[in-house]
Amino acid sequence: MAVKPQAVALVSSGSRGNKLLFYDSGIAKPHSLESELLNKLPQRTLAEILASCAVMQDRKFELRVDEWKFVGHPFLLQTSSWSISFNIAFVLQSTCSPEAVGSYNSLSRALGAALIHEEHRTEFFKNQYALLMQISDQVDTIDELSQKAVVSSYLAKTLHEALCGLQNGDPHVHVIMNDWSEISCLIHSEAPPTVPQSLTSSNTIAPKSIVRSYSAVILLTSFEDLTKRLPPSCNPSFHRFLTTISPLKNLIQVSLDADIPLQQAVKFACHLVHWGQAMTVYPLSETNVYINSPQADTKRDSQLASLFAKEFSSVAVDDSESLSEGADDSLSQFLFHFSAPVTLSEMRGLYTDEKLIPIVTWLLKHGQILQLHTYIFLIPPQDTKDRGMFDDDEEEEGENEPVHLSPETMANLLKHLSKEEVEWVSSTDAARDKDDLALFTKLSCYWHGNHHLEEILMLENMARSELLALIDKFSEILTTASIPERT
Amino acid sequence: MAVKCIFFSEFDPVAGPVISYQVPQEFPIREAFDAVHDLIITKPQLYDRLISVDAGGYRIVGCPKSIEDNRYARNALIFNFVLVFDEDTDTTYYEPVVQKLGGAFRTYELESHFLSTKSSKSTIPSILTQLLIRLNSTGICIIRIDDTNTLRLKVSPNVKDPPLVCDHHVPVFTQSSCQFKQLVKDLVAQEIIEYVNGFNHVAKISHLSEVSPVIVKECIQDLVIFGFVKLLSIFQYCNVYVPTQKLPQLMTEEELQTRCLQFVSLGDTRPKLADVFRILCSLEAGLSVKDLCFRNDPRSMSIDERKLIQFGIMEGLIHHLQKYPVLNRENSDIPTELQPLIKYLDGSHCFDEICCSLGVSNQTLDELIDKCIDITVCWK
Repeated sequence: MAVKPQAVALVSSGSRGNKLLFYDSGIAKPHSLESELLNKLPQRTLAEILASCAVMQDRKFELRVDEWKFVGHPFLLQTSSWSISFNIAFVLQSTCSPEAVGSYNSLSRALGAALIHEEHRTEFFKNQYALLMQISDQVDTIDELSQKAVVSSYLAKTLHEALCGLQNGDPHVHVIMNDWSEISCLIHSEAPPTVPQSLTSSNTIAPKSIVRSYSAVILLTSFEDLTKRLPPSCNPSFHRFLTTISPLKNLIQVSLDADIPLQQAVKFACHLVHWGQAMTVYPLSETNVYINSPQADTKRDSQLASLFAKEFSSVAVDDSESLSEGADDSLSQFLFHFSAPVTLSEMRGLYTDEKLIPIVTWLLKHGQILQLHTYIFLIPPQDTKDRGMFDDDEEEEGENEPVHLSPETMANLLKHLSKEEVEWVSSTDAARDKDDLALFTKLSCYWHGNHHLEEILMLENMARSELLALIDKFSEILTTASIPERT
Repeated sequence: MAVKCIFFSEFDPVAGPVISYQVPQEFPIREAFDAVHDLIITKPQLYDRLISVDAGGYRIVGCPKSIEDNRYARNALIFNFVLVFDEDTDTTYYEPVVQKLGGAFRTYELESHFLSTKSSKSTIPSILTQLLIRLNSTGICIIRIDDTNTLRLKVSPNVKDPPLVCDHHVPVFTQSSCQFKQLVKDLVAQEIIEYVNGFNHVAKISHLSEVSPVIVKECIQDLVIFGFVKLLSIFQYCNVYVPTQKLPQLMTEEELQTRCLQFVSLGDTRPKLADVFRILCSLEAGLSVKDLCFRNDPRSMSIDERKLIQFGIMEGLIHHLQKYPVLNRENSDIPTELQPLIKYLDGSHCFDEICCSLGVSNQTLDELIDKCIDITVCWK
């Protein structure tokens, strides 16, 4: 669930005392928490509590009163002609996460900094201050204040815009202060990053994806939406990047096709991921193995299922015998295919590429399926004496003389493995073959399960069969596990 | 040490808001207090409200109280017992404590003028000292205030979404149950403890202990909240498990290794870590525990496969792939024997749950579902 603000307030504290210059509850419902707040806390109290910490300038402001949390960032504005301290505070529910509080603090700081900049540039705040003071003297209720202020004050309008966007569930704030200073900010949601995001509520942020040169980028919003929102001054190569990306291409290919340096392509991808507009996956290929995510939505009439139906209503099954005749192409039907690990090439038997790739992309995007990766682990061989932790019989000895490792190999192995682990290596038969041992040594940094098979192949530029053969030869001390990876 | 400092602040008729007592005495809270004293000794609109504010690198949590009476100078006594934490501490556990603390002293003042009598007021520093020590050590403190009053405070986890306990869940103790038996005073818990062994599911426990299922569920829910118990799924040899991203931790964390080997051993011999890890790595979709036993013979390596699976699930090293039957169309022809099943066929109920509610075995359910071609079974 995204954290939606209840209201925004602008308070000032200066020669004329503490003053609530502007208070707006946006589109919040009349019976929400926020109106309750106003019933209980009169305007002046609100101004006082929000301004009371104005002595702590340029620091995070976080105040909780019962079930409300006020988050802001007080500033002291000093020019040659006047000085005043002000605080733009957002009213949140007190149960919101520390991440959300941090995001709102950044937003308040960005707005405040822009306001100060505009004051130095065009005395924007001074004018707005006078205007808002005048309005607040004329009105009796806080509702009137916000209505009148939004109509006549630029500053109030800007704050109102930011607030309404957030209340509508868009976690991105993009406003322009005084038609000049641009403010962009992203409000982080409460969802812990380990849970695959579901796009049913458009306001959740993608989990932190890992961007690597072998990753492919999948947009979470539509291409049209994204390009519409880009500022006019946007880098033209970014447009090229957006038109080139595909779930089938890794960033290296994208950089070649779009004719931009790889480093820049990676930065673009990071940028999109940071702003919650994209996620990264391992590029879709025939050998990729997928399985249902534990969070997959198998419920027949769920919101996601109807979204799926809307998106892919016309997908027909090519091989009608493989499924019961006339079966619906519902989400649960597709998830059925991913009940057991399945490769894309196996799925191709059921659907053509034009249908399959969008569906798989959609399922990945909505966290319904996960890719299984193979990881490799170094473990002690079955009959060595163990590290003293276990007492076991030591019968078969003498026959298996450990292989003598050359000092050079030894040194190379020790770079990534412990002494004990090197002993395991020397006890295997496979280590007698020089070439195999050389390859094993070269790859020794990958034997702790920190890299998946595809990554190793990519980094070492190897053939899959070559690596699998090596793992097989060293099967005494290497074991593999297929583990679903959060992409 | 979560609570850095506790102070008692009041409105002095001459000096205004002051800190009358604080522990530890040398704690540098003065500056922060000066910045935010408006929120500690507040305006009447903020009385009795829980207020937490960040100042000077600290998070200050208090609940201002006031008693109006013309026997006080300025006709009111305003005071606040305040807890101080580091900034960015999650203070939700302590909030009820702060509220209760203020409320209790308000009562003591109303009943016996505790705060306005010199002799009793002078005991506040020692009360605060005890509070600080106990809150930071056990989180529970019982302090005798005077002959008639005892202050009892407890820092308790605040539960946003209590875990849902279902009939088919299998509770298991996170620590040895013998230890727990001596501690627990709850009557229901005492009744059901001996049946909580990591293999009995909730419905069975209720049946065995002859306690109503509703009460068993409530009791187990409490035990889960306080971290004594974890919920697992029913163990069966036809179950399928897959490794999770946490599995590699078993190779790197020594503490986890020791616990694992101790837990999964069959009899007195400790199994080898390599064997345990190899078996867990070999888990994959489509491979039931039965197949696993045929393939690896864990018992010959002195590994108890049931314990191994239990440990894997408890530590999140493996995940149980559950079957979810989905009826594709609601109005399709369904054999009469399947009629009682229909309400479970919307894709949100797993096999364990259905078996438990209908009292049928996994195999029977499988056979029933096979009879209708309109039902697909998703694993997840």
